[in-house]
Parts: sequence; structure tokens; C-alpha cells
Amino acid sequence: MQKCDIILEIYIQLGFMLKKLLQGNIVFNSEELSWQEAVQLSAQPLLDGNLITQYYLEEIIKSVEKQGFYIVISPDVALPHARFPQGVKQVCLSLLVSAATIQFGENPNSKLVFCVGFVDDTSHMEMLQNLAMFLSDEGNLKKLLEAKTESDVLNLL
Amino acid sequence: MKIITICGHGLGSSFMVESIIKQILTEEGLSAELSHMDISSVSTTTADIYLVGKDLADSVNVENLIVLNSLIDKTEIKEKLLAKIKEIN
Repeated sequence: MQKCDIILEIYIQLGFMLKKLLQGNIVFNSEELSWQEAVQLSAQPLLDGNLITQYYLEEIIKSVEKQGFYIVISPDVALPHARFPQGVKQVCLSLLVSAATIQFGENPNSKLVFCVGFVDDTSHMEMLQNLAMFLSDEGNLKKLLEAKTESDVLNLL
Repeated sequence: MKIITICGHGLGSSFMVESIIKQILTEEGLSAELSHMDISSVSTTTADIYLVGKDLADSVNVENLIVLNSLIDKTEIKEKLLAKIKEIN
């Protein structure tokens, strides 16, 4: 295999990784939500799949109340997570796409909420690196904001 | 050159910024030592440049701090980082 083929292969695998994690874990919303409701809704697929516990969700909300809105990563995107491995079964990721804007502290315009479950300090790194590469492409972010169905999202990855 | 990215828990967002910086540095043919950490660990280390999101900026008191509006906006990160590198060299 040539070097460029290997790189291409890695890219395909990385997209595949996000796809596999998000499959069945994407929620859409059009109603007005408080930030707590939005975090809850984004985490619902992970709760339903027993990938995280209710305690993990509560820990995220408590952490934000204590430390501020560290979960806001851009004007459009929030990334609820906490350091609470006992509440997470395995590295996991879900997504809420909201047609209505959600207010996270001083950020009134969030529409994408990625809930992330961490089990330790390192095993989620590959996933987050992929997510960072994906979201830092302006075109991807724009298309993601317009997604209406799960396949719209999965086809972008 | 040492660059540290900071976030609430040192787990998620700071590593995402680090990934984007790594890509920018590679594209620009620059190299640096990169690491990410939570706010409380910052005082125990030294770096040439620090980056943090605006929501936590008030809690970080270091020199050469870059405050980001977005942790995933490559254009913003690139502009501010390259300007800071130029400024300190």
C-alpha cells in the first residue's frame, strides 16, 4: 500500500469511527429548551443505551453550575461532559441538533450539543481529534447545522 | 516553544484545540511542544503561549494568553496563534 493510500485509509476509518459512535445516538429538537433540558435531551440516547448513568448527567449539570460554561466550545456548539468515569460505561458520543437556539450562559445561539462520555484521561482522544478536525471545517459545521435527519448527519462524516 | 491549551477539566475541549493547533503548525512548517490541561493545573507549569475559551478567560491569569471565541474555528485559532508567535519572537 502506498503512503497516500494509507493516509486515505486512516481518514476513512476516522470518519467511520464518529459515524459508528453517533449512529442511533442523534436527536432532533425544534422546541425552546433551557440549557439543562438541552443537556438532558442530548444525553438521552446514551442513557437509553446504558452507556452513561443518570449520575453522570447530574454531574455535568452540577459541574457547569459550579465552574461556569466550560462546555461551550463555539457560538454554535456545546460539548457537555464531566470528569466522572464511574458514570460512564465506555467512550461514547451523542448529538442534539436543535432548530431553536439554546442559551448556554452568555452564549445565546447554540444549536448543536454533543454529549461525550469519558472513562479515563486518554481513551477518548482519537474520537475528540476526529470531532475537532470535522468541526473545524466551516463547511461541515454549516451543513451539520442544516441537518434534518440522522442520515443527513451520518452522510457528512 | 511550548503551547498549553486550557479548559474546565483538561479532558475535552483543550485537547480539541490542541488537535487543531497541531494541524495548523504542520501546515505552517512550525513545531512546538503541545499540551492540554485544566485551569487548576496551569499555575504549576510554564509555557510560552496559553490558549483558553472566552467563558473561562477570567479564571486564568498568565502572560501571553490567547482568548478564543470559538475552540473549533481554525481561522480564528490560526490568526491569533500566528500573531502571538510573531509577537513573542
